[in-house]
Amino acid sequence: MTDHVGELAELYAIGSLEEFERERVERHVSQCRECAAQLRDAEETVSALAQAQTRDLREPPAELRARLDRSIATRRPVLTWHPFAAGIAAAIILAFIPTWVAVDRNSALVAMRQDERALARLASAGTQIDHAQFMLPSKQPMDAKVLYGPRGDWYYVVVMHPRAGMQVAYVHGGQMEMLGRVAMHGESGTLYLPVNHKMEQLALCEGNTVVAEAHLVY
Amino acid sequence: MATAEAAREGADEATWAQAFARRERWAFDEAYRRFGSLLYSVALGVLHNAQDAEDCLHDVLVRVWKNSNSFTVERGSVRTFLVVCVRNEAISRTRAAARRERLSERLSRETNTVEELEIADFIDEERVRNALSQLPDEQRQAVMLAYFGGKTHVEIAEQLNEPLGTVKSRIALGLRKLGTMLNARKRT
Repeated sequence: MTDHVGELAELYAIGSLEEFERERVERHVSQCRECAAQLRDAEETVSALAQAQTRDLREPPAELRARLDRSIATRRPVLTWHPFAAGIAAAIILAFIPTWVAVDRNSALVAMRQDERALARLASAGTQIDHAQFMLPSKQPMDAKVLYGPRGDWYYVVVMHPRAGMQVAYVHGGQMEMLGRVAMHGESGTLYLPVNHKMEQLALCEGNTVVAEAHLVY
Repeated sequence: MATAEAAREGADEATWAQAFARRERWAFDEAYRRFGSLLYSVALGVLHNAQDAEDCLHDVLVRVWKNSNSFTVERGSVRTFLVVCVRNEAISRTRAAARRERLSERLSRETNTVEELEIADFIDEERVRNALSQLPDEQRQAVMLAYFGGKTHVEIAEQLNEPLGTVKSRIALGLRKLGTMLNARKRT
């Protein structure tokens, strides 16, 4: 057991820690009943403050319930990776991501094999791999996903049946920042992005038109 | 499913909290039914934007659902856990680089006036106002900068020109005293 969290429990509860500090507290309290109890007390105080501050309760938009249903409909598998060969890594991804069955496995496998850097990253990733679905404006899923590292240090976009010239953009603060063009591999297209910051929203674009969007959760 | 329905109908608080910790879908739905408005309002209170609040609440709930270690019954009540999760996420978002300039402007205004802040401006409940007013000045100032100002302990130390350890202790002691005064340790 590492050192107890001490004052960090109160700082965590009041929202005064940066994200990396919060993660340390969360890891520790998941294994330490003493610190979990301390954090519980601090959180109850902050919760009392928050509720006293919340004058008028507002109903969340009805759309939120539908968004949540879509997001949690399929519990995401936890993938723990070992330094397998790149081809095996690709095969495991295709085999274990349930919604991936919607795409052509062989084409996706071929596409992924052609991007050696991405596969090397996937094969050596020591933690779980997150993934997000690209959704069309009609709220229907598109045959496109982004795999990404939980720390936001890499992203791998795979699009089935992409159209030529399709690009990936980072959407933030009301702006779109073009990150790169999807490389065509027959029936599929890929783009590997070793970007070292957490991106919460990506868009697939044709020109300046957004074709689909993916919301990434960390 | 009949079993899930039966479990939901007959579940007491402890059973429901344990089911939530096990990430059973009915318990998750029940949490949203009970606390959706509160959680959305908490997010809105920090972010001041309906779409941002919706996104924040969505992402927090999805993360809680997907992370098997996020909640344990030792951690306290589901409501408290979710309120703090949503508030922390909302604060993180206001710290994001894209909004840093706007936040800085707001915080700099608050910096100049924090000592004159009327607690009544923020808090409706009298017992909470009274508890805050009974804190020693330096602890109340640190707690208010952290809670209402959304500042990290590092930023508060810089602003007050005090050692980091001093600021951390003031926040921790202040919050513990508040908890004692509010009887927050009495579990419901």
